[in-house]
Amino acid sequence: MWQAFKKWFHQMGSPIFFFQGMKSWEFYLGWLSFLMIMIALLWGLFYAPPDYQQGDSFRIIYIHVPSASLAMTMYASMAIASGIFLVWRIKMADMIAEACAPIGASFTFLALVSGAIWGKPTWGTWWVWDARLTSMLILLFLYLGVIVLRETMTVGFRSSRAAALLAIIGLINLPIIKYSVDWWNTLHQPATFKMTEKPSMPPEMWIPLLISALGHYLWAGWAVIRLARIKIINRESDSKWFAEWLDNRSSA
Amino acid sequence: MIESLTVIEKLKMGHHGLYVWSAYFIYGAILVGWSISLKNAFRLKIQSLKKRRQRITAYENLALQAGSKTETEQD
Repeated sequence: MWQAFKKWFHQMGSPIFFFQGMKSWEFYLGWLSFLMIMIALLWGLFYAPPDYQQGDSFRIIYIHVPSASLAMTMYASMAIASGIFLVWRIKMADMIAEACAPIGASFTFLALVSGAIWGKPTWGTWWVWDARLTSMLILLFLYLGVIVLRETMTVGFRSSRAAALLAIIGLINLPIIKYSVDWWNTLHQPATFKMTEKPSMPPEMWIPLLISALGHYLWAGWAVIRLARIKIINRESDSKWFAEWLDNRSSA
Repeated sequence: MIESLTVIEKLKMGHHGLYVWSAYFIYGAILVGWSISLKNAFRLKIQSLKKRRQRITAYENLALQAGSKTETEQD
């Protein structure tokens, strides 16, 4: 099993295998994520009971928590892919890191905006320079920095290396975001879900949240694979294997 | 009438409806925007490359024809 996984993982380092092997994954991830997100959002918006303190404004949780969680996971994935690229010079890892950046930035932006909208009726303000909020804003700037480095530097390898270094340096921000609510006295509440503890919410509230989080993770997987495949086309469009693939596709 | 009123009241979510719906609207715009643009970008890229490949093949055929014509004339 481990050997099979290792073989599959190594094969995925090749753009040809990734491009062709991920096609079916893309299809299933896309549809499954769509179904899960629809179920979770309808459940959360119309069937979950209102919170006894926050009322209906708590329903923002079904987009805010998955967005915030994905913002951090995408950054970690980007940094891991960047590390692999820097050490082993695998160009597929660079393309994955490149694909993670805009998706992760969108989720960070979404977490900040949905949090601000939720903050107004709950805290009475859109924004406070609270440790959690500020570290999330820094995460957005880190993502933007990585994207700008890739877009503005003209030499391909140098821009990839610079972006990879920034992504790895920025990793330090992730534990700060995660533990900011424990280390400092913040307005932001502690984590909604903990692996070691039973959720404080009733099941009719946390089950749709769990489905929403899983659905969003699958959607992010779909988006990264799709974007990485587009990047493969951009980089490999003149290669022989791509021409053959295009010919086979045209004749099919 | 009573049923539709309760649905509207439910959608209004008291005085929090504006906050909830605006958050969901921004969220929907970003997620749907990404989904559509990723779906179309892939398709359009393949289409343009296919056209480019067809053009190259056509030019190659023309060049081959011209080559064989010159050879016949020389013979």
